[in-house]
Amino acid sequence: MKIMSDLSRAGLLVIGNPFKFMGGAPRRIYNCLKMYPRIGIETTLYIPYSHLLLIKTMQYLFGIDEKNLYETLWAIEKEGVNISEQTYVQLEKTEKDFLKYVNILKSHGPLWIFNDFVRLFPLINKKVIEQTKQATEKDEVIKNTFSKKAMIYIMDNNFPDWIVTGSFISKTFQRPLFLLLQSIPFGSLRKFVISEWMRDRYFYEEELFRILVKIYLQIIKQTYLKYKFLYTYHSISDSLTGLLSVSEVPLKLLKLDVWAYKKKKPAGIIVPGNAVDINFRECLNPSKRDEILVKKEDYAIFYARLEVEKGIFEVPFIANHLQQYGYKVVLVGRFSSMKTKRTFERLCGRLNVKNIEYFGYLSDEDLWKILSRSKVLIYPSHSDVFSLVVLESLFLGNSVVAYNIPAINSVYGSLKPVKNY
Amino acid sequence: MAEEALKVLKMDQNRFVEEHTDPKLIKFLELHSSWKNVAEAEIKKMYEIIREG
Repeated sequence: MKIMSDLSRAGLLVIGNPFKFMGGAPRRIYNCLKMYPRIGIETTLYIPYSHLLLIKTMQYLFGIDEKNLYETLWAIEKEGVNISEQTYVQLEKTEKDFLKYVNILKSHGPLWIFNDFVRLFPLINKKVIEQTKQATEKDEVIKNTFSKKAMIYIMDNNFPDWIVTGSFISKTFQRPLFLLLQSIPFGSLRKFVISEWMRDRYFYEEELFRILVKIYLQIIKQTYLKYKFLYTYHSISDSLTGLLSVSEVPLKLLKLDVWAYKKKKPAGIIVPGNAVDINFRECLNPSKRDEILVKKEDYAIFYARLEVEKGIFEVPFIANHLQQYGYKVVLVGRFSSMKTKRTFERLCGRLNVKNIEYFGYLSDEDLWKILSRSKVLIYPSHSDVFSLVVLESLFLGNSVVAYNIPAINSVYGSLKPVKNY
Repeated sequence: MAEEALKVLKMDQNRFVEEHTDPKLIKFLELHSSWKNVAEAEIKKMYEIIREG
């Protein structure tokens, strides 16, 4: 194919986090990275040092074996992706730096760290650029990539340090820069305040004063985030070649479509913006699909991260209605906090809901078994960019009942089994 | 939402199967069944943007 052969000569430098245990966006990056060499695109991965430090913190907090980090990088390398030398060098360096911060935390307390960060904050972008400069000067893999005129691809808009890194490399090597939108790092302040109020006042039943203080602090945080991101987008507009998006949601909700129009930057939606694991393909085989559809049982399912944003507190009300007709609801996933779990249980008790069967967090294999037997996914999510839960459910023959939010409407709105309103 | 879920649970089996074997749905699922399709779509979009710019 001509397009691919033109681009394989150009190559791609990806800035992103491929550690799929960290969530949906890294999982997408991991899967796409493995595919670029297969379609003939010479690909190099660079992970900024600032992000490696964040990964190290997550690894420490969630008790993830360090082996997983290296195994992920090796798996990508095995598929033909070049990993920049500096990614490995800096990954080792994070260990030392991370321990340094832990020791400071232990000896000076969290407030000192906070003050230190506030003081250092204006220097962060400068620091990110310094590290990137060092990487581009020292790293033979990156230099080799640019000798072949690579394009730079920032694979998530959720981290300003990636955007600053990509922009710096683009300016240094005078190469095209693309930014993929797959997150909503800030949203409408009005909606945010209403949802915080509803959650804390009506579900968590917190004291009025505590709620007001919390909302006030959150408003400051959200406003700060919004301006930080807008500033970052503005600062890269000279070097940016185009915006890509996994669905129309980030473009519309962040108003980046308007921003792109004003800046005369092209913006395009990727279709398909996401995919499922290869095992799902067999569900499209007509005989397998018939087998799945025949074995359906009369129950509804809800699976996701069990949190307010995904609509966990609507589930008892839906279950209550289905209970009157003798149907059960299967619930799969991990509660985001003990508070959420207790509130959920209290709601179930208050509504006298007894038809919810909770399975906790399941392995993919066990989840697919339950999902292939359920008939309908109830999905009262309030916010999404591209729901993989909905996609997987459709593969396994579930109808989907969801709110008419932009992610559901724009991606799945025209499909018969998706009932959104 | 509960009403909509109830309608699906009560739905006639033939209609349920018909909805889930609808050619438009199958085509959509085929498109979203491979990461290769996603990677190709990204690269093509970049190429279009460069070519048009």
